[in-house]
Amino acid sequence: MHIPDGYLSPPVLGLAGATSLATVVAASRRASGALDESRVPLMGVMGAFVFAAQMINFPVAAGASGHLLGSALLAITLGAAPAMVVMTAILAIQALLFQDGGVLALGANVLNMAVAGVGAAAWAFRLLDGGRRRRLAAFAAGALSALVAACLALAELGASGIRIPAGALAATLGVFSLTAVLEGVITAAVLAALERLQPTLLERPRPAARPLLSGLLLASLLLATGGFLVASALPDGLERLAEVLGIVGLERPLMAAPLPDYEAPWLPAPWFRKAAAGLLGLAAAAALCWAGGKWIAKWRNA
Amino acid sequence: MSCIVNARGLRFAYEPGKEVLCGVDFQLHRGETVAVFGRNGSGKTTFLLHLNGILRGEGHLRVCDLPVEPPHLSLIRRKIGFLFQDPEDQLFRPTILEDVAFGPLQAGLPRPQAEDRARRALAAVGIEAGLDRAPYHLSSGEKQRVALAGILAVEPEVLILDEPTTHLDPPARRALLGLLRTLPQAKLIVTHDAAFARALCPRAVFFEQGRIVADGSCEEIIRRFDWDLESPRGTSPAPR
Amino acid sequence: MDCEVAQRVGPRHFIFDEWSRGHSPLHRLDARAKLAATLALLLATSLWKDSWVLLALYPLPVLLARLPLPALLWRAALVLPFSSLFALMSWWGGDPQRAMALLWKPYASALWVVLLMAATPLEDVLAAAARLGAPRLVLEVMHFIWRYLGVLSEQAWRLRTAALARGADRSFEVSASSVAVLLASSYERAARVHRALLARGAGRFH
Repeated sequence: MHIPDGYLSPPVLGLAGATSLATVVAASRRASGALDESRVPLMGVMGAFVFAAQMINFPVAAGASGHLLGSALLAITLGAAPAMVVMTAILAIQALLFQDGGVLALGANVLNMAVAGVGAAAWAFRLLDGGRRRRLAAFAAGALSALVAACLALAELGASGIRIPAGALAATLGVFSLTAVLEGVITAAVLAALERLQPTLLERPRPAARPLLSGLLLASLLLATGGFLVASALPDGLERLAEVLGIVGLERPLMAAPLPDYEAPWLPAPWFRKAAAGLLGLAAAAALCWAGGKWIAKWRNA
Repeated sequence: MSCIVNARGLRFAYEPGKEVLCGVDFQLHRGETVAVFGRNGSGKTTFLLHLNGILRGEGHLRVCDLPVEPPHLSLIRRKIGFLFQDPEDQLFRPTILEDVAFGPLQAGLPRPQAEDRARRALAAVGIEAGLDRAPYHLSSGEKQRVALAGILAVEPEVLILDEPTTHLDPPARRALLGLLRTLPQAKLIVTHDAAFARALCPRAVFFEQGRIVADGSCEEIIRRFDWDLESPRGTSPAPR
Repeated sequence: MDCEVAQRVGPRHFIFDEWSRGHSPLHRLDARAKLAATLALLLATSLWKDSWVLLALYPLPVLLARLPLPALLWRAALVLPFSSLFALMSWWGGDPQRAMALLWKPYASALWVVLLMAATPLEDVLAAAARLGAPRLVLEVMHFIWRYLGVLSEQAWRLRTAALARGADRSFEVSASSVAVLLASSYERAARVHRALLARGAGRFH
């Protein structure tokens, strides 16, 4: 789901943007080193491939059809860092030239699909891949990437004050689950066809697996995501939690918004305050997990 | 130095045990035009990719009296203009002018000079207007001419054309023939098009299983290896 | 008999190539200025509740750039289907003010983006973004994607059409194979493009 401009509030946009920018810059550097010199034509052509592949319809049932999203397939064939770069490029092209997703909102869309989606897929695949489990690994990668991306998007919308009525929410989550399953199935089917066609494509040199780091990263993302969803659903419970943790006072600084013209409809006051407090707390927790993971990995590799 | 390409005993394998080139001996002299025949998979393109160092095998190879090795590669790639089979793979800059100017810019020329060279090369292939069009919106024949201009712009000494007539309609083929006849460079032309080769190349070589098994008059080689559409020995299949 | 065929990226998607190669004062303006201005306008649209007033000025740069105003308005409308869904949900949830915002803000933002891309060739926008600090690799990949989008989507369309013409069912497996074939051939094309680049002198030599 590509979020348009004008939906997300500044704090959400800022946080998402900062996270995705930092990650994509790191991924760019990593991708420049990992693949050989042919990286740019390869990544560019693969990006165009995802676009083109998205036009091939996969019949689902009774006239409905879905299509490939692509994060998982890219992650499996190119590796995580190059896949992040390619997905970012795709999303940027979609925003600029196809009016699919906003330009400012790229921070969020990149986080959801290019960073979290690819990361989740790469992690799941690496964890599960092996012999006959490959198809399962591909399915898991595809399904997880779609699910994580969709949930993050929903969380960002929720944190920006866009309430989805309960009935619609159930339907939305239903659609997300179906999309995830479809993505998983398509990814697995394409991978199987690819193995018959040209098995060498899948034997790419993989950089040393760092399950601890990527696991922590994924966990923190899932925590944050789950946290937002919980925050939207149980605002009161969260306020109690905020009291207990002593971070109630944090509400003040956030409300002294530096933007006086920031419109009222964006701040359904009590709900937003709680959500914001929860958001801050969870973001801090996620950041700690991530930083801790990095530190541990460095300590191990030293 | 009249010998521009000098290959002796060139061997190459994509993977161990599967030799694609099994000892190729070949000399090309200044200004010569040579047709390169052979069945698909016989090693023609693989051999040609050695001449500008994209592939590296074993054996003796000198181009314009330079060994085909890293310090000399950028110079060699300017001396050898390689036109690939599908111009789609070759045109990647946003406008025609920019694409043709790419080579000279890579060679270190300042922009005004590079664009000037590009304009002249485009004029030589017959494209004078609409230089800010995107190359990928052109017809096959025009794309190929732009790709050729891109190569001519660096003023090479050897032109290598890999199956240049595959996507061309007859008028475009004739136009290409006329154009190539005016170019002074030495030319190596991989082609399955016997008529085209006959009209352009006095000399031909025939590749078979990674070796050059014949090197001589084009007409004679076409006859000897039965490379024409209609077999001269009268054994062409009768229409039903 | 189902005759549905995958939609291809047709000439209308390359309309920006055509528009952006005009020769008006707006086209000649430095891409960095245009990019920065667009970003500022997007921010204003997002944050300022009365930013719709800015839209009153929209026809001015459009006329200055000699671009077809109705076509731009129509192009930006691509965002409407998706945002109307959310607007509807907000309306249903009892927040009409937000519903309106969710409808016009994305449209206004899209108008500014479409103007930028119609008055500035993609490579110039990418170059401007590079100077503003965007990661270079992403920008290079974007350039290639745009370049090969047409080629690959043609190929995808042909694969699909050929399969259907041979009487294939609209089956899952046919689609999966088509995608796999497209993937493999994309890899090979990438290798050929790389070689062509090398042959023309690009790349490091080692």
